[in-house]
Amino acid sequence: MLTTHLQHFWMMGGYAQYVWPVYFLAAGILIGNTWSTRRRMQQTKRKIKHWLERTA
Amino acid sequence: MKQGVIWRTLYRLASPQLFYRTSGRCLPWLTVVTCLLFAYGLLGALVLAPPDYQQGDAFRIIYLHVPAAFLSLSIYTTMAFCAVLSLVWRIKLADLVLKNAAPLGAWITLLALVSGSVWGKPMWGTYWIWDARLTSELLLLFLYLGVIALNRALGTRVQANRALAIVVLIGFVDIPIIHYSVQWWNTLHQGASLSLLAKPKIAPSMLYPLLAMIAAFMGFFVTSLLARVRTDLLWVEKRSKWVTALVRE
Repeated sequence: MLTTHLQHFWMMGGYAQYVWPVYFLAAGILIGNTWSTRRRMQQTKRKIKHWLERTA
Repeated sequence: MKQGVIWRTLYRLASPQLFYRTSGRCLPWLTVVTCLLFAYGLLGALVLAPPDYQQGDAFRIIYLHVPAAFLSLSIYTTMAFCAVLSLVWRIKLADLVLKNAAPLGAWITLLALVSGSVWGKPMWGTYWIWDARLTSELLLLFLYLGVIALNRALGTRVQANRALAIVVLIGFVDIPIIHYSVQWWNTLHQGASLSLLAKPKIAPSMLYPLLAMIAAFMGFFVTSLLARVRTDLLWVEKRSKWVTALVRE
């Protein structure tokens, strides 16, 4: 029963090949941007630390 | 009197240290609210909203396309506003907001274009058409890419910031063209389904998740922008005592 419901949901009324790629692309863009922003903050803090050590 | 208070508050917030501290306090709350809005919006978009009687389940792409398209215009408008702040009042923070908003705007515009194009295939029978709305939105993507490229090429000098602000203001001419293109020209793209003044043409079961997704996308933009500006602010202010103290913590 649950499998049928999930299958029906996954099929998106025959439009799965259009709907899911767009949702995956959106997820990729949103998650990728969030991850890169966090990474940039950590890298910048490390860079400033090194810069401070060099200039001290 | 009231206006004076607003200007004083804005002027104080433009101070790098205060901005860093205040935005740091707001960010966790903004992230939670954005995640909740995405959770409700996605549940409504994919599960709760019934299939459209004409478009079937393909209409669910609209829950990404409309917020992305709306945000692509809002981001550029924010950049133009910052360009004015930078040119007239020389606010350093405005330059940072302008530069950091551009990559986010480019990604969101790309999402608006791709989602619209994929939706267009089953509905219009084609992925792309040189229609006024689609073409002007594509031009917006090129404007974002141009601003990013120019920023990388010019560096961080004061003249570079001024040049970037002027380019952004010239490009702002595309925003009303995108918005009114469906009224000015005979386009394949339909007119606006949502308006601040008119009664919505969408059923509530479909409308509320759409509004939630628009709010979630706005939340994502504000959260990402604040985080990016905070990062750049640290680097720009690295010689100041508060940054030294913060990094050594």
